[in-house]
Amino acid sequence: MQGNDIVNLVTPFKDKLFRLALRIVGSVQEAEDVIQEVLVKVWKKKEVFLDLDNKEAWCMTVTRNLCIDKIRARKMRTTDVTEHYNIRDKTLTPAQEVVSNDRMSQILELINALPEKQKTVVQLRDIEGYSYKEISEITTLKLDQVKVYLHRARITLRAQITKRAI
Amino acid sequence: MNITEINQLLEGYFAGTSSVEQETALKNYFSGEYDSSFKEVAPLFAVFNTQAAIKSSVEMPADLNVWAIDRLLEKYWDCTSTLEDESTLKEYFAGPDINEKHIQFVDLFRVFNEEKAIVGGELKSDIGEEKPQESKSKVFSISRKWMAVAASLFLAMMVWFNVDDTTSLDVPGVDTSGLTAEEKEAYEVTVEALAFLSGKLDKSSNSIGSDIKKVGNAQIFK
Repeated sequence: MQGNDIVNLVTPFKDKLFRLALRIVGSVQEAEDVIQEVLVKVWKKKEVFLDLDNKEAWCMTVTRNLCIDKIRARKMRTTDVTEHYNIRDKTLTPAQEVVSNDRMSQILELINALPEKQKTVVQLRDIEGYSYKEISEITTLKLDQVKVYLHRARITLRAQITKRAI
Repeated sequence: MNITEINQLLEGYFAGTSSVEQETALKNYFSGEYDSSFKEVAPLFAVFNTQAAIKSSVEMPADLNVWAIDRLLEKYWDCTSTLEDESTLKEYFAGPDINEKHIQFVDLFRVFNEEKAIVGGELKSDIGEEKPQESKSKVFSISRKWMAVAASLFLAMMVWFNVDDTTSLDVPGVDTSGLTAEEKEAYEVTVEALAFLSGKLDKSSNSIGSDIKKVGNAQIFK
């Protein structure tokens, strides 16, 4: 009974968990492993999970922590950009199709090259649209730190985009 | 939105002062037709939009309980399970609600649970009560303890009564009638040993006395 409840509660944000894992660990296979580990963790702590007010934030935190553990264990790996673009092509609008894959690949590389905290904050804010407060809760960083990491990331991205004149 | 408004939003965005709503407006703007003056930053927002559209490739399990146990079992057979994972498995297999597909592993995990219940050669009450026999070393240890008590008692009495003749076993004031055979034996052995030591001490003190006399007569100290 509880198992099905948990599945129903996690399903609405499972894509967000996957994208965060993919951003941090850098490969679809590892991201899938992380999501499965998250599900097992939620199942093990089902009593705690069912009592949580913000289940999504808790799962995002667990996902991030498991990703960091994985990276520490296996060392940082580079993201296979082409993996993402196979998915991306299906969702491109006509306007986006004008933008070359090369330009977007370069930007994706820039994002992936950011330090882990900056990259995570960009993922949570610019891709998932979380508020600073929510990001602070997920990452357990202070609100000001979240803003600082995001600001640094955006400064880097802007400088690189301008420099490369993409 | 006109170019000026977009520029203002972009300034706010790169300064880190924009709100979620303003950033959403930017993403919406760059997902459609945009002014060519923004061609440098347009790919950034296009990346955000396309990345947000990525779907998870992980299928959600139909029965999470069975699926989670399957996962833990996989890890267990691969020897990648943690102690916590194994504890969860043991707990599951010790419980009443075991899925049919897991019944084949019940005996294995129950054996682990029962083995764990064995404490220091003694089984817990739910497995069977069996009183362990006293080991020989324990008996020996008790015997030695009584011997030590008897010896201490005897020494204390020796001091109290200032007995000179320790060769006799009839120590005044000591009633050995209340002692057990074992205690009596310990007492007699102690008395004999002390008598032997006393004899040796007498010889030594006489010898030391004559040696001191010789030293006193030596020329060097005069």
